[in-house]
Amino acid sequence: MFYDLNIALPEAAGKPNGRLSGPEWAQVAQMVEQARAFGYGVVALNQTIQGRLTAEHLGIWKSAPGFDGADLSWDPATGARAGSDGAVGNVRRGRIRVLRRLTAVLTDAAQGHSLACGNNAAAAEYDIVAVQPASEKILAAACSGAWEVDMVALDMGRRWGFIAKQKLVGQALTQGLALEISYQPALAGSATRQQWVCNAAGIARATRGKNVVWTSGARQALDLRTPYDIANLGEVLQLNSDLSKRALSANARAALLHAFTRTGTLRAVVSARQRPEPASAEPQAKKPKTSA
Amino acid sequence: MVRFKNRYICFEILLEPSDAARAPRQDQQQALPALSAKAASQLIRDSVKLGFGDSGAGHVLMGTQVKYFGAHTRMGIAKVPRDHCKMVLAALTLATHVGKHPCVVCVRHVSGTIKKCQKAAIRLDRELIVAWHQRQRALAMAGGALPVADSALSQLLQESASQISALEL
Repeated sequence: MFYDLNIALPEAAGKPNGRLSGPEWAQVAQMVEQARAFGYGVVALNQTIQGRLTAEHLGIWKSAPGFDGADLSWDPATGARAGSDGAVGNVRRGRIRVLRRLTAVLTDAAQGHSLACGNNAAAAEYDIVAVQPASEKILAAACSGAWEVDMVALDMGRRWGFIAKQKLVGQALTQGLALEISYQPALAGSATRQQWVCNAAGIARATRGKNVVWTSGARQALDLRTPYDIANLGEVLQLNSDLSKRALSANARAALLHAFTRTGTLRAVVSARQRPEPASAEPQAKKPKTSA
Repeated sequence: MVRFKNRYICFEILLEPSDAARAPRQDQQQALPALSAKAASQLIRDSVKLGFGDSGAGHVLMGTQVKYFGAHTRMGIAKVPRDHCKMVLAALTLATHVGKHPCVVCVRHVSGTIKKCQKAAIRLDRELIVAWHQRQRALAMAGGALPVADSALSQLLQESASQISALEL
């Protein structure tokens, strides 16, 4: 099963108490439908915020409509999470699962602590939390596991002004953090594409293809590509088709499991699961889960 | 003496999102440009040039040829030199426009002989023609016109299947 963990919501969604208009949601629905047609099983809608996360940022999910043929990981009426372990597991044939993702653009290292579930209940609502470091210092903090995040999502289309060094990236790999490469900038103009190849090939080299997650970062339906076409694109970055395929499936799933250990478990050791039949009088069984 | 080797790529050009294709509206249908084999080969050459520059474009200039392109289905078969096949595939992934119209190029099959590519193309062609026929029918119903007959569909299927299987190296 293939995953696309970044379908971008419009910028207005990143503001506290932000709202999206009907046509904007229709465009998101179009992207979800396109991803389903291309054979993806799971997509995540990405809300990009600047700095600190607050409870007001969650308001956007209440205004989301249902999507055709899609299972949402949250309840559209209340905006609350539907189940703790909804993010991983199988998706029925012909359906698609829609998750919520948060990307925080950090300019100050202190802002990162608002992403921890222990400090901020809002962070536990998201199925996956990513940071977009604005400087090398923030990247170093993110890679060393200072904050409870699942993914490091560097902006591939822009000049960073620093290099993602193997030492830093290696730290992220030992922490089990995923590194995102989104291909949306590659479809933009020539200068952006050139920068994208520079940045993405740098990440591919530093990680040697480990823990890399391919995502679309799509803003419209025609920004999406089929998984096998992305594997072809990976050749440009010296990622062979096997690594690309893993970046679209196994690595993305690992990132979701990493997120699950944050939100759905006690200290990443134990998780409780509701029995399907509520009629039984037995106490709820606790099912041990090994950490991912 | 070593033979010059090629790869055959079966590709599809999508001009609109899948939900628009499923539930068509009259005004959208008319806005879509008609594509030809010439437009498809231009698309391949342009996207290679955009992605890989003059040297990339030069490598595929001679060997690249669009063998077949279906106007209804917007699906085609292209021959490219084997050494530069991966480059062409990557360039096709990065293609965003055909002419002025936004598009996505989906590569459906790659093979070393045209025979296997024909087989894959005919299989895909059937699906696409049936989908196209259903869409035309829905459009006709919405417009109040008479629906296209089923005999036209089977004729269309046979015609394009024989066209694809008639291809030679």
